[in-house]
Amino acid sequence: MSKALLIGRPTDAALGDQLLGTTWRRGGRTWWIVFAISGALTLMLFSLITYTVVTGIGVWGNMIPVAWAFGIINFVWWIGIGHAGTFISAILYLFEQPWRTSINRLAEAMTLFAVLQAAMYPVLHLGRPWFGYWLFPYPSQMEVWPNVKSALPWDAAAVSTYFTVSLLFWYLGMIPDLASLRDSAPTRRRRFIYGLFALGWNGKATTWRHYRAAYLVLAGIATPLVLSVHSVVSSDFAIGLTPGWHSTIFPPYFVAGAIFSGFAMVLTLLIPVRHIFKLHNVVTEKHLENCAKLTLVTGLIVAYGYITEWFLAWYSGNASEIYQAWIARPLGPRATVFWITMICNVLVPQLFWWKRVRRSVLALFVMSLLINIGMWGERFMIIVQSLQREFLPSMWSSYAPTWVDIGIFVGTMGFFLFLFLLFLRLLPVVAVSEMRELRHDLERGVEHG
Amino acid sequence: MTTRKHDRLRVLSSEPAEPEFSPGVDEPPSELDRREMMKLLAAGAGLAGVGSLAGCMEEPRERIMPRVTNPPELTPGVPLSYATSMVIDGFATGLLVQTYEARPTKVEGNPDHPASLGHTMTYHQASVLDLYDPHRARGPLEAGTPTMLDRLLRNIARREPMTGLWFLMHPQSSPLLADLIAAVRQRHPGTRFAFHSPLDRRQVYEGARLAFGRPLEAQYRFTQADVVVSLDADFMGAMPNSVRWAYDFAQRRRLHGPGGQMSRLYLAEPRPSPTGSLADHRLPARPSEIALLAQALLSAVQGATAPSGNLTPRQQRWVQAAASDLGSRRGRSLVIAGDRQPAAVHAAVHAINQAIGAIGSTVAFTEPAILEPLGDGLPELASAMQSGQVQTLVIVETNPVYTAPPELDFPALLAKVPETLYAGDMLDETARQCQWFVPLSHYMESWGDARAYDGSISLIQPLIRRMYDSVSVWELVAAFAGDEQPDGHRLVRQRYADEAADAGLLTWQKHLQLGVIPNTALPPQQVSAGAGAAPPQLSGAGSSFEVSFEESPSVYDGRFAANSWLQELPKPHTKITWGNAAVVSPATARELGVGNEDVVRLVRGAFHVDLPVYVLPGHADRCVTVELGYGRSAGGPVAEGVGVNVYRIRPPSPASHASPVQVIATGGTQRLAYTQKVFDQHGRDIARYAEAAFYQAQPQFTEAQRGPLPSWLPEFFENNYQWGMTIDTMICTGCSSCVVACQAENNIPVVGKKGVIDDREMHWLRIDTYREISGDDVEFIHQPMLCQHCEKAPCEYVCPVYATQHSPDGLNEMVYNRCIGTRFCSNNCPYKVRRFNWFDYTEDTPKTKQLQFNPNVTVRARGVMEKCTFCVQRIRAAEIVARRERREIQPGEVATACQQACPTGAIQFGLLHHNGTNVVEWRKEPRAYAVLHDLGTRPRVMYLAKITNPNPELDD
Amino acid sequence: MIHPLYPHWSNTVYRAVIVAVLLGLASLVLLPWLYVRTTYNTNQFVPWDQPVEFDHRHHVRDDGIECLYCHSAAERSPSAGVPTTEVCMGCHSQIWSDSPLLEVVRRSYFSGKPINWRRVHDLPDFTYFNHSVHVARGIDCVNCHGDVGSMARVVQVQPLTMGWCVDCHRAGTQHIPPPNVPRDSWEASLQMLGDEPARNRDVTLLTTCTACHR
Repeated sequence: MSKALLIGRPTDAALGDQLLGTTWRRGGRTWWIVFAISGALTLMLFSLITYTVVTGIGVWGNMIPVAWAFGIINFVWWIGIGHAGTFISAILYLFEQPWRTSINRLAEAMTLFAVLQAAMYPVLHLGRPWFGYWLFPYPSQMEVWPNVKSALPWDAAAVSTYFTVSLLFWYLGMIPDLASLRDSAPTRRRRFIYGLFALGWNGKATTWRHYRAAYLVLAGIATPLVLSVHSVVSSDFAIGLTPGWHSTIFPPYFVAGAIFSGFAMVLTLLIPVRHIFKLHNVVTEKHLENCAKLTLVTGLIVAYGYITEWFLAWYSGNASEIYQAWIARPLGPRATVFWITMICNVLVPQLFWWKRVRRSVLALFVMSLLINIGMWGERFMIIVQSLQREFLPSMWSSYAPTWVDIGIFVGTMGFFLFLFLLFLRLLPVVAVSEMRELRHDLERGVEHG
Repeated sequence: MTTRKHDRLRVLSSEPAEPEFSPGVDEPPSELDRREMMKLLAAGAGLAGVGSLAGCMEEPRERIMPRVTNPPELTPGVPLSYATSMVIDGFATGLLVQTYEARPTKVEGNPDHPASLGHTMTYHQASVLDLYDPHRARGPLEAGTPTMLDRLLRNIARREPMTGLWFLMHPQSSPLLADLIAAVRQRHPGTRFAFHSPLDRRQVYEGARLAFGRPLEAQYRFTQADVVVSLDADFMGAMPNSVRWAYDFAQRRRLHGPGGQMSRLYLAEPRPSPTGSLADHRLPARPSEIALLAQALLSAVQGATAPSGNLTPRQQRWVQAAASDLGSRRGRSLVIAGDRQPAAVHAAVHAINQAIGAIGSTVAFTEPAILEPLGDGLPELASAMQSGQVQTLVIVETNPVYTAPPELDFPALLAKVPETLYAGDMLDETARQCQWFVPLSHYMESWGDARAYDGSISLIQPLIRRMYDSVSVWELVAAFAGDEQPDGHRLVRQRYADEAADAGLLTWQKHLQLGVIPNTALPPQQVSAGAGAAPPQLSGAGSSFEVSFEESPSVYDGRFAANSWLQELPKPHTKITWGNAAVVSPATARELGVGNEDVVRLVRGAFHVDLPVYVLPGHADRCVTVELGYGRSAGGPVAEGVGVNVYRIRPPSPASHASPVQVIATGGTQRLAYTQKVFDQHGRDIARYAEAAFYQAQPQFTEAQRGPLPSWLPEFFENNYQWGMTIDTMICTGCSSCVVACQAENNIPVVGKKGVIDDREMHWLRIDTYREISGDDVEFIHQPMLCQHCEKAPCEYVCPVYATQHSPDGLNEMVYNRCIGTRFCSNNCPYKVRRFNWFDYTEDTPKTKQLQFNPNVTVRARGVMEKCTFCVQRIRAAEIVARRERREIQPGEVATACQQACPTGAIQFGLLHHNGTNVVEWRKEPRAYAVLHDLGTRPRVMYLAKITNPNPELDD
Repeated sequence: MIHPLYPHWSNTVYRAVIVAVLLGLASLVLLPWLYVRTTYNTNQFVPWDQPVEFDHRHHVRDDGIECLYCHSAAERSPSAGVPTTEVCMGCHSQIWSDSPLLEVVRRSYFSGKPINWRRVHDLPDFTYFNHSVHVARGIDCVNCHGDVGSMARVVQVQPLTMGWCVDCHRAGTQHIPPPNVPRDSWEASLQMLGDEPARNRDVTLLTTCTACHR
């Protein structure tokens, strides 16, 4: 099989028809069924949220000592997933990696929707969500300010910034495509609507020049966020002295984990989409393989993180830390999660050493799913298992989620899918304008590493 | 802070008609408003984004209802304390009850009372909740239909002399009641009074009669006992004078330095008791074996060789060691037997005390404080009912339908009685089968009197006008004596008119203020365990299973089962709440092939009950301990259906234990709600302990766990005005009085059985118990665990909104109204002492219960964190008084609720610059340490390691 | 090219809409933020109806009765206390003993039913303000309650928000006005005396949370 980034040399028109076409082709029966299901789950999500806010956080399984559980696990899991998008679109852009072009749109959309899910949890898990805004520094008439020593105000800032920037980046990248949709959409109504969002794009050289500048600047802004957001999130735990949290490895370890899970999710979404929309010519094995490689790299960093944790626990000489890392997690309550995590996050990625695995679409898909599960398990391990076994044995206990916990988690997946399906329907899945450039470059034989 | 006043009457008389709805203060009493405020704050402010919600929402203006006239001693907003007494099975404990605008809110011990010395037991602390129980009976019933109290009493008073009139009531000690009983007997000749309690002490007096020819009460002087041998006597937890004895024992027990002398405690009992956790040599023994041990000990101290036959080697060694210790300290040692033990054991113990020269030195004897100790009881009444001699039966308080042994089939007997009247606080099992029902006043609503264990006459005065249409015991009996309008106050005044005169300078007012009439303790009697003392042959123990019946440390015999504070109180050793279990030793559990929460069936003859198992190391083998007082079928929603009613298999006599009993594993399981699941320290040196010898050799063995640690953070000592607490674990019995006190003081909600199972209990102060198991011996270390008020508190820096911060005087402050409930502080608290309002626990607090709320402590709404504040409301109140008077706070001016309650005085609190106070001196002792010191949190609570004093002879 | 997708003026509309949306978002934050600072929120200057038309002007100004004569608890108790009916009747059994204005008071006195006043100065229930210690430090009633002596009906003149409380508590002792000095000359006297008035009364400015929240 070829390692080409683009199979064949389709004309601009052809690319347009293939990639923009997805937006005005009518949704098939399966699409409607899936869409209906995701819609139902979304409804369930919001009814459960209402139930929680009205009744009290007690409807969740949280308790003392495990005061954080599903809420924070899911928050970290979703925000982690969010990371691949920005990584692909911003960092790979700065490094001029051409293979990003055909997958960045999808990845960014994924990021956006994932961060949206994530952003719900921190507010929701508060005892008094209606006071969530106290986390933001504003001159209140109580004349009290947030505590910058705590990680949480930073969290609020980081996540909201991240969401805003991702949104702008995604939208800005889409403007030329929106414009071409405006110009080529079949019905006048659609053209009118797309036109509204195209912001009067006219494709002049000057416009392109400004556009490029703006895009580059945004990429520059987004890049550090990829590192900062999850570092801040990791400090929610790292600044605590809970055995299993109290560790300096967390920021890099979390960022790696985030990109790891992000790429897994990209694969999980990309492979079916590629199949459904017949994008084999623009999303080639090369793309999938690159994702796989990156997954392997980040996966190794994560594994290294685990090793460091065990080592430092032993090296600290602290009885609680040692017990936490060496006994409580592998053998204590909910140890199954620990083992699932290890298998999915450490062993499974090793298969990517083999080219055949990297190039087998099915294998990639299954493994990406496993990695998603593994990364969720990792957060469960870090948060719940640590809290179950703290300093005083008298307060040791074990955690179990309630149906509300699970319902809300499933609900956010539904909501995510709901948004993603809408995206597939209404917007071009692949950045058309960029593909066209890429084709021109390829024709001119511009070298690409 | 609060002043003690005398006569309540003046205040009462000037109250509005319905004290519970507007005592007329300019703070509306109903905490409802406080709560609604919090909620509206939530909603309203949430929308509008306000901090202060003086009125950000259109709620109706709060109302102010000033009193029409104000008694001089009462200042709205300033609490008053009054002395009164609570009586349990005839024995009075003196209390001081704090009231806000004639609204009792908190119980403290009465320092002037011999049975309290300012301390209390759990029951006393919790009793204020019973007063406000919304399910209390509100009026008399005739065959289930409401009737009028005064008419009922008038009719009673006008009755022609009755024949076959019987009374059944708890043991009583009230001199006034004695007079009234005489009057009743005069008016209705042949009236008989049966005194009965499921835990009554008849066998104690029987034993004294065997030994001395007449019933006597033993007065133990633990302050002078170097060696104490207890045969199944939980004298610091479950005996009438426990509050006092716990204090006395602690005085002799507590080490002041490595060189100090401490007493030694030998104790034999079936299941670990609070007293047992302090024992130096704790011998697990089945109830029936106690008799053998008593006999062996007797012959040992009498120099004879102990009958070695039916004793195990371990038991023999224990007996020998105890005997030699007792012998070597003639006059400075004593032996005490458990109340429930058969008369013969008590007789034997008297003989032992005689032999070791304890009688006259460490043990004195007085006339029993209670009336007719060997008079009629339940058996006599039962046979009379059986033979149809009972025409009219008046049952007061006691609840035989629930508590009587199954053999009696009391309901059937009750049906034979033509006329039955029940007086109690609730429509309980017995009430439902009686024709007439009269609500009984709570002791805080009644005038009366009773004797303390030592005989001191204690006065009972009301603190609030009767909330419902009820009478006191005295008034009811007076009615039978022909008093048409019985009035407790009048009766008491009449009874003590001359008493006051005799007391010379002391006036009636003074007595009331003291709560006790001085110098009324019963005089010691000259006794010698003479010929009578030859103990009868004690029945040996079979090897078959035994069931030991214990009073519940929470609900006693079931009479406190409606009290949610007590129901949710973790039991000292099992930490079980909301129910009882079949407690067995690990060996027995293995033998039966069961573990925690497996249901077993206990079968005695025709009767059986099913209970979940709880495995407790240190329990006697082949013995099952069950707690009485659970499985109520009536008596309020809190009581009903909680736990299992084991009265259904309790034999008539001996009531202490049943044998033989079959124990069958049913294969079923049943959830138990316990607050602690792991009792092993995992070698983490959390609760330190050592033997006296070791402590002497290495006084500094806790050195690594105190003193400064390097830190980047700034020191907190802005001034030398710093609060701290010191807790001595060597005198903590785990009785949990402090836990209830804290709950009462700080408006702490209960969360119910499911709440506890979900690990959501709210106690600010819990008692962690660790079991150190070495061979047969189990060392129990109780460690009261509360907010440590760390100088470098991990909870503080992680709170995103500054809801928890440090005060300049060293308190870790918790600001509920700023808390948004991230729970980060709880995750980061290594002591896990923070509690979270998962739901709105205070939302549907009954209106009456809201009257109990401490108005100086915010009632927490849903979604906020809370924790021990070192009773900051008391600190600030004292500060304000001191500031007003422009002086420093004096030592002892501020006491936390837990400190006040603790019977042994194990908890000490105060300012760290007040040298000479216990809190300061104790933490200078070498055995002081901080829990998790190495984390560098710098706790303000220092613990003193538990020191035990085992007999070197027994060490092997 | 057929007729255009948008009319020529659509750009203007488009820009306008964008501006409107941005302003709308901003106002979501700003309006509440402003509202809570208004007297609508703080309930200042609301002359609540009271069961008795009690006129402080008459009692304080004309008769020169001290605040503490009726609100005596202010010296001993957290709450200043509204006088009992007895206190009113202390004088009004003699003077104006048949005034119709006092009907409610008389009825209360003889029936024993309390007068049902409306609370004017209302703090949230998690805030523990203590009158006695402020009075003991010579903080004039005027500081918080305004010149009640000149009010027909008592109104709340200060916002009584947390910010307002801590403003004083953070201000520093040199801003604590001397006692018994008319309000308008506070500044002048503070200029002269600095923190001396505060020191003489050893005023300590507490800003620790549990000073008010317990």
